[in-house]
Amino acid sequence: MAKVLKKKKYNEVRGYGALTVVGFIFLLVYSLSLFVPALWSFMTTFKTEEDLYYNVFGLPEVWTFENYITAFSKMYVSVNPTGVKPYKMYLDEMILNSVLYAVGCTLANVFTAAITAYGCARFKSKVGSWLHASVILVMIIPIIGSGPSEMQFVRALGFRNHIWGMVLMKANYLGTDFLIYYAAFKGISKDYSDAASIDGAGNFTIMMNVIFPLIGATIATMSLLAFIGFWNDSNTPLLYLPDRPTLALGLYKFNQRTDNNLVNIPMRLTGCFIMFAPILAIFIAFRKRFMLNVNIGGLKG
Amino acid sequence: MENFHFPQVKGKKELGGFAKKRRADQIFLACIFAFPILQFFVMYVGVNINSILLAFQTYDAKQSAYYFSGLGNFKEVIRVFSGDTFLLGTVKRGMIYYFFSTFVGMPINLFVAYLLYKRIRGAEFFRVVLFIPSLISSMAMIIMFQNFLNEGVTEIFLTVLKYDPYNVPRFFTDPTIAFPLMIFYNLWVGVGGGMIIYMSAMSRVPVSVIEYGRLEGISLLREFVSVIFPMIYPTVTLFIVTGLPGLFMGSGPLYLFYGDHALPEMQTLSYYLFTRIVGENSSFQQYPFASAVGLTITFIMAPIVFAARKFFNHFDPNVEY
Amino acid sequence: MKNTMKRALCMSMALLVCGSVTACGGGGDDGDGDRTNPNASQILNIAYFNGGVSVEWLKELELEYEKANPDVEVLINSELKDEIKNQKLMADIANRNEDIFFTHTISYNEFVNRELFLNITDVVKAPATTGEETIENRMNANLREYYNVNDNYYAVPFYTNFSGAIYDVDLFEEKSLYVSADGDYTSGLAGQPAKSVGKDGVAGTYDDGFPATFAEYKTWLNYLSKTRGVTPYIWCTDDSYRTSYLDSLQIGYEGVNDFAINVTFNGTTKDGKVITPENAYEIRDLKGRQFAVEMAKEIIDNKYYYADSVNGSITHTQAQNAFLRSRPDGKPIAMILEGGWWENEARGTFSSIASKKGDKYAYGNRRFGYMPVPAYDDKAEAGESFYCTSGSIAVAVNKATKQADLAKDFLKFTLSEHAMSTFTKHIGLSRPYSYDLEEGVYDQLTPFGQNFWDLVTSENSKIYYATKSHEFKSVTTFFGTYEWGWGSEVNGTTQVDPFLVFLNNKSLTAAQYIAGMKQTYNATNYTAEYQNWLSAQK
Repeated sequence: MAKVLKKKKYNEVRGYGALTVVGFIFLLVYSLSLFVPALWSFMTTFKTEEDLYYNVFGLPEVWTFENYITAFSKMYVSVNPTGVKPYKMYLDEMILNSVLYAVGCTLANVFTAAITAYGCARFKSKVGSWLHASVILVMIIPIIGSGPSEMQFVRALGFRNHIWGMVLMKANYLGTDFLIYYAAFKGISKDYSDAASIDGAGNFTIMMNVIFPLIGATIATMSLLAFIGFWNDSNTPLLYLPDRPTLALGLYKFNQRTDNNLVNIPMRLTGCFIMFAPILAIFIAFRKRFMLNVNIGGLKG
Repeated sequence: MENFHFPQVKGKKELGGFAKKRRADQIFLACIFAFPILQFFVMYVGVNINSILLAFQTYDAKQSAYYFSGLGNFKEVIRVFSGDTFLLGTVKRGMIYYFFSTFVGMPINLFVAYLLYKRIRGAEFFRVVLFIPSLISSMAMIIMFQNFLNEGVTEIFLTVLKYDPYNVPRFFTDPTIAFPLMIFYNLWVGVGGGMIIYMSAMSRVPVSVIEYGRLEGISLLREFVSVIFPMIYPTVTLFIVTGLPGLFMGSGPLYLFYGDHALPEMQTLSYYLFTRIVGENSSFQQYPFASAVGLTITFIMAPIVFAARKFFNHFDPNVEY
Repeated sequence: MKNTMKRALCMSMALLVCGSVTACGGGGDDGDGDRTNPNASQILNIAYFNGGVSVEWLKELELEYEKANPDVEVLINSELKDEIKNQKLMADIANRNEDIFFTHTISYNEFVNRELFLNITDVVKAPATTGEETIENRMNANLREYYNVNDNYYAVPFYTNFSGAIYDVDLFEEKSLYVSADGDYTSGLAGQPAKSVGKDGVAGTYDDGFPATFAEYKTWLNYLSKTRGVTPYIWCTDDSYRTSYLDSLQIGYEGVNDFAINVTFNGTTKDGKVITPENAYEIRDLKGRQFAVEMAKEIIDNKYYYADSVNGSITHTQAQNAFLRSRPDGKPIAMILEGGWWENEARGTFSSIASKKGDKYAYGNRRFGYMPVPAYDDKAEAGESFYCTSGSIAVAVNKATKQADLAKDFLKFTLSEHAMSTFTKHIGLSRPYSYDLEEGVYDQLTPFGQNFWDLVTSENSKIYYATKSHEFKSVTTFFGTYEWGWGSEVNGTTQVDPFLVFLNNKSLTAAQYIAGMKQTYNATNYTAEYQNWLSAQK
């Protein structure tokens, strides 16, 4: 019986240097510091408010799903869209809105940033350099007090209460995502596009059929990250989607209630876990995608 | 091999192959840039131009309208920031947040990324665990953190450590505890920050170089400093430069923790300005001042950022493998 | 592995879907918004701020109105909070579909200037129903002045509320916490020593059995804490409850007239000091503030508070729960700093305690009342003076409404005496108009609700509702939101909550805090700011 030697990766650590021991202990302690509050919070969601009042750390006196049931049945938002009678929107519709909002904004945001970065990275043009500079400039300038102004614009453009309106709002190229795509595109050799254009492909074909697939992994990862950001966003829907609430907004409003039965600690934690459940599911399913390598360029260019 | 046609000379104006390509390129760029630029001008410039103009206006409560008042707000900014100890304190606290996040937080991120890159024991597991905080909305994270400290940890002090109830550390109402706690929270939540980006930057170092170093018997630390860091230098400096605006505007998620009622000893400039325009303490009168402060910071920071950019580019080891 | 992941994904999705199906099945608990009246040709939308005052009273009126007007359907959205707070509402009201708004605190003048509310003068200057006086005449005089803009009305006041220290009557009897006529303590029950005559020196009035002077009050607090094992105070982390308590102490000493000058900048104090806009900073020299700050110092220094009140961040709900559970659990707390709506908000806790410890703890069976304010010195105002915190909480009609007449009609309907009696029946607070409670309503109020009604209607009560503040006070850059109230310069920072300041700075004295209150608003700063403002007016 031959022993199979495990092949070590080139960057794997040999031996136990002081650095690795310290690092390991640090990571272990950190992981614990995340787990313990999370587990305690999760356990608390199965307690009634009274149970928590008298028994903070122990196991629930009675493991109860009451909090979850209350959350599902009481987590509604009264909406009053124009032309339709006001009604109560429950979780199912809110989840639909969340999906539409998150998917729509992700697509808009990712593709706008990616396509703009493509234009800047693979072509030399003045406009391209200005766009690139504007991304960095915007990161530097703190704009304060744009709330009312933004509300006026949204109202004037007719975006209010429409998910497509939010999608258009989010279809900007600003942010670190642009820099990531820029670096990714810059890292692809010119040979690919040259070969394709010799074969007679136009610019658009090159972009969509040749270059984009090459960084498909990066785009997929960034899309997932963007999706999570939009899923958890309750600020934009609070301001501009009052009649099409997303799950995040529903949860936020749920936390604002003054009803004694709904504002206690186990309920609030329950709300948090309900919001987190779909994300966790997506994470487990697509774990490999999240962990992919993503490149971000430097300051030059 | 490029298509190369000599341009026709006699009278006929036909675009040569190269020029044709350039024209096609320009049309293409025009198409793909049109929408982003329009969107930028409408939703960024258009929206924010008003806020910039606010810095030059004053609010008339009687008419409920703004009118232009020149540089009065900027004079106020200078007057206030040269004397008001409270506001200077907010700036100081913002800077403390910044220094911790840049000089403690970022090294931790690099350290963690390096450890995971070196695939220490349990790297796969730690990678997942470190990534999870970025999946959870900050509101949920804060609710969990706050309640765990208020209920759980306080309970430990009372029952296990047998503290007198009046001497239990007041995590959120005692500024000597609350302020370090907020800094800790920022660092705690951000340990896995940038992990993906750093790790992929590190993995661009060619195998051969790592192997060579390993053969030479260099230590981990040496490997990081001489081999890895030059490779990730552009990434790190990009984060530092784009993080520079945090010098004055750095803050923890104070509004999510405290709402409108953060203790004055905890407030940062960013929080203070935010509460002038949103929430209970806000009023239309205070918008111009807040806007003026924002613009002043931009005037101060823009040269610093560009200088820093030049500085870092100058020292870029420009590593090419 | 892939299968497990896919399964996990499917399961969590299924869970959510199941949950939402349950929701759909079990939803519509109160029928509001789900009820359809197919015959209704007109729909009235109402936006109701989800604060402490719940919406049941309006729902009862809604049913009555719909019965009388079968072609109208009234739909109430009562989960609005942030969306219709002052500034957001100002920005958004023209976009909203609701016709009538029951708001939170608003800057009435701004709404009027921007023409966001419908002119309802015709409603206000007429009776609500036949046989009643006009709404304008029934409205409290101060508020009438407040809401009147050039003889036009654009909103009407909503409800009356006092915030302050609310005490547990049953506990006072149980533990003999009342002051007795002979200077000792008593339960005041039959067979026990009689209660003292209190601050006013007259027996049979509201303040009987309570400490008359500040010195007595301090002794009494010590008695509670050390002898009786009763924690005197509990409050929540939100500092507005504490500053409301300080306000109640201030007005308790200064009286309504002097208290109003803090806002109007015009008047003569009972000491004879003349206040004008030029010297309004002097109003802060009155002893009322000194009294309140010294009380805060006393409470903090001697730990007369519930430990958790400062230990973490407890919400007002948690404070209510702890207060209600304290006596049944044997660790009694005497007073909670709350507003008049608290009992209604805490209904759930009443029932959960009653189910465990007996019906005598149920909602309506426990007695609570407002704690009288002791006299700081012999110049204290006589009788009970109250500060109504809800003067600028209004009911208004959206200017952008598409059915102005229907909205006005319904609004008028809610302003009749019957409607107001219904309000009190459900909420236990009152509306700042003159009206009588209908037959049987008073009896079915909780003891606390009855206590509130008695105080509001008593001749000995003086209530400050709201007055138009002087225009100079609208310079929020100088006066801030809370700074003019309790703000003080301490260690170079403007603090607005004396309780926490004393807690975090053990060596700071009340006198130092009071001196700090005069730093920002001293003669020099104030005069400079006032001159600035004057010149900008031209």
